[in-house]
This record gives sequence, C-alpha cells and structure tokens, in this order.
Amino acid sequence: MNDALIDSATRWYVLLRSGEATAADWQRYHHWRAADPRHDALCRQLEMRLGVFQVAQAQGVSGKVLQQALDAPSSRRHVLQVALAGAGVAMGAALLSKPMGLADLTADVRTGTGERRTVTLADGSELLLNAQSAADIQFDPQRRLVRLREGELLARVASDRNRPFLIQTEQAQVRAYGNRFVLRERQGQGQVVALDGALEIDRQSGERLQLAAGYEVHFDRAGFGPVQVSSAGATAWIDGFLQVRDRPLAEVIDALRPYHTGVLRLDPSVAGLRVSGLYRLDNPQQILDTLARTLPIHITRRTGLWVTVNAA
Amino acid sequence: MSGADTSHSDYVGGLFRSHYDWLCSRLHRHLDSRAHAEDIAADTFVQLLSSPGVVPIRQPRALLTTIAQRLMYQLWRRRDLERAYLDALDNDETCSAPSPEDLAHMLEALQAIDQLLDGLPAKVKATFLLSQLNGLTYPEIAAELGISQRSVSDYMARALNRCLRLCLE
Repeated sequence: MNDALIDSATRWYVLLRSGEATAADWQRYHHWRAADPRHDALCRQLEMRLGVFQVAQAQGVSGKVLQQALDAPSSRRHVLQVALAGAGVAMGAALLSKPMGLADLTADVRTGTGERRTVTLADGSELLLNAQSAADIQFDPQRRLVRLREGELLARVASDRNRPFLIQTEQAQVRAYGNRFVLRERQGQGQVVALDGALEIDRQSGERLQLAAGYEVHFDRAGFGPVQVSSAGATAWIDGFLQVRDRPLAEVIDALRPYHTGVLRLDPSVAGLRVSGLYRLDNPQQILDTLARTLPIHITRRTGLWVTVNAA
Repeated sequence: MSGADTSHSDYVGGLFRSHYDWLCSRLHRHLDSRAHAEDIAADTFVQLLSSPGVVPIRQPRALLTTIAQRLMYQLWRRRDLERAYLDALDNDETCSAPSPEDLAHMLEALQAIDQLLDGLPAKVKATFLLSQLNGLTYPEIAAELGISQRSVSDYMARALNRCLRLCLE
C-alpha cells in the first residue's frame, strides 16, 4: 500500500517540477491529493521535510555550493554503518555477544582543527596525530597496517618480528624497520622523515625508496623528491612549534591550515616570500600577525573565519 | 503515564551515576577535548531519556556506546560539512562571507539536508538540488549537468522517492 502511494506521489512531483506541467496537470494533482486523506498527509509531510531547504534559499545559497558541501568525504561512514547495523532490532544478539568498547568498533582516530593527540595501539605502538588528521587501524595476525587518510603523524613502533608495521597513504606505503618516523600527506603532497631506523617507501607507481635514519624525502604524484638530511623543522610540530628556515610563505601557511578554523587564503603574489622563525602553533592568528609585522603582507579578516593574506 | 515516565528517568538516572564517568573516559580516547567528550556523554543520556522503549537494558554499556557513537558520527560529519561548505563558498565568486548567525543556521540545515539525501549518488543529489534550490526545469538541469532529460527525470524520481519514504518512516 505504502509503495503504491509513494510511487504515485513520486510520479506527480516528477511531473510538476519538470517545467512542463500544464494547468490541467496541476488541477489533476490537486484532485488526486484531495481524493484520499493519506495522499494529502503524505504531501504535507514532504513539504515539511523539504522545509530544510528554506534556510539555504533565504541565504541565496546555490544548488552547486550545497552539492560541493554535501560531497564532503566521510571517512567514518563505513565503520559506523557496520557498528550501527545492529542498533535497531538486532541490538540483543550480535552487538552484545561480546563486550565491546568504542576502540573495538571504531578502530580509526581523527583530530580536529588545532588538536594533536597520542593514541596507543594494541601492540604498544604509539601514533601522535597532528591537527586535522585521520587514520584507520587495521591490525591482523599477518601485519600491522595503519591507513593515514589525511594529515600527519609520528609513529613510535613497538617491535614485533612476526608482523611488519605498515602505513598506507593514498600515494605511498611506508614499511618501518626502525621505531620512529614522521609521515604526512595532504592534498597529494607527501613527506616522510626517518628518525630512528630505516624505512622502505613504495609509491603506487611501483617506485621504491630506502630511507636511512636521519633523512627525509618529499613525494607527490610525479615521484620522489631528493633525499635530504632531516631538518628540525619537520618534527617541530610534535612539540607544538612551527620552525622554518628560509622557507616560502606558502609552506608556512599550509602548516598553519590544520590549526586555523575556517578559510585561510594566500595571495599567490606573496606566496614565494621567504620566512624564518620559530612559532607556537597553538595560536595561528598570532603567527599571522607576527608575519605581517616582518613581511610586506596585509592580513584581512572577515568574521574570523575568512582570513586573507595579501601583498601590503 | 506520568508514573512510567518517572520510573524511566529514575532508571536512566541510575545508569548515569554508574556509567557516566566510564563513558566520558571512553569517549575521551576518541575526542581530544574533555569538554567534547562530556558533551557527547551527556547527550547520550538525554537520548536514552527520550526513548522510553529501551527499558530494561541487559548490557547498558553496549547501548550507551552505540548511542554515543552515533552522536560522535554526527559531530564529525558536521565538522566535515562545515569545512566543505566554507571551501565551496570560498570558491564561488557570487557568494560573500555570511554572518556568524547565518552560518550557524546554514550548518544546521546542511546537516539535515545531508541526512535527507544520504546515500543518493552525487548526480542524483546535484539534479535534485538544482531543481529544489535554483528552480531549474529539467531541460535546464540536463544542459547544466550534461546529462539527458530522461536521466534528469529518473534522478528526480529517485531523490523524491527517498524523501517520501522518509516521510512514512
């Protein structure tokens, strides 16, 4: 009964919104709607549901902007759907058959804007996630796999001869032979720093690189950059600092993004200015003000959420 | 009726006393800020309070975990949506920066819309939004998205069908 009702209502609305509905079509629709209280009730409910679009309409938000917002990736979705599968009817059986904590159900971890966090894994290894980072943990008897979905982490790997420790990003897989390293991948730009012990890095393309302790390398879709002696700057975030020596402003702004709520926009004409200094990451606004005092740039703030860095 | 309500809130109150701290520390592992963890833990009990059907609960911690997770998911999704919405506005030259009040309203609406259209393919969402928000006709939508008018009707039917189904749930 409901299916038939939904089908006829769907047909009506598809016709009425086409832009080709005639006055006679509208008349027949009103007739259908009035013919049965269930028809009218359903139409009313639909109108109420679609009321959520009024805010967007009132603010003049276009369908395109809304579409882009709704396309926001949801890394949690899969895990949670699995976790919630039994929430309704089957609550008694499957979910309660063994004691479960959040850690069992949602193996993945995430940090928000300005948050850094340490997670201890089942084998005693530790991950320190930088701000705006997300990782899934997938351990099994053969291997210890961490998927870095976004962002940056420091791994302290507990030794386990039988199970390799691997971190997978969109573009690369890192295999740890030592115990401490830093890995970052944001918007296709990756960096690995081997702090203790060697690493083996495989790119999706099949290219492989061995990285010795004390070295760092950048990678992107095109390939690996040159292997360089690691700088203190690459790991300063671990202690809550941003440390740069003669780096382009664009790199500094990118490092601030995970700590800034809202949009941070950089005028390309000043992106190449060179910056040196040691800054506290926990106050990105203050860093911007400091930069504005020492560089020919101007900071514009609108509602605190929009910050634009322009040429002075 | 009111007697049943009182016993339910007493029951939930008892659960709160025995499990609130546990839930907070559990959540704190996943949420960096203690305040967020406490907010979600408190919301979890509020949800339990407003659903009298769940009594009696044999394994309260499992149920609390499930509710808390759904709330955590909503919080995370809200953050994802907020970031994507700000980015989308920033990329659109016709939009200016909204006031904080407008933004807060919009983010709430966005979350409701996200749930309404959840699970529909991107093209279906795009079609529906152009019809719903921009009031475009099917030929206009077809031209905008580079798809056939036939597809536009099919996509509209899918989106409307989902919304109608939710109405009857």
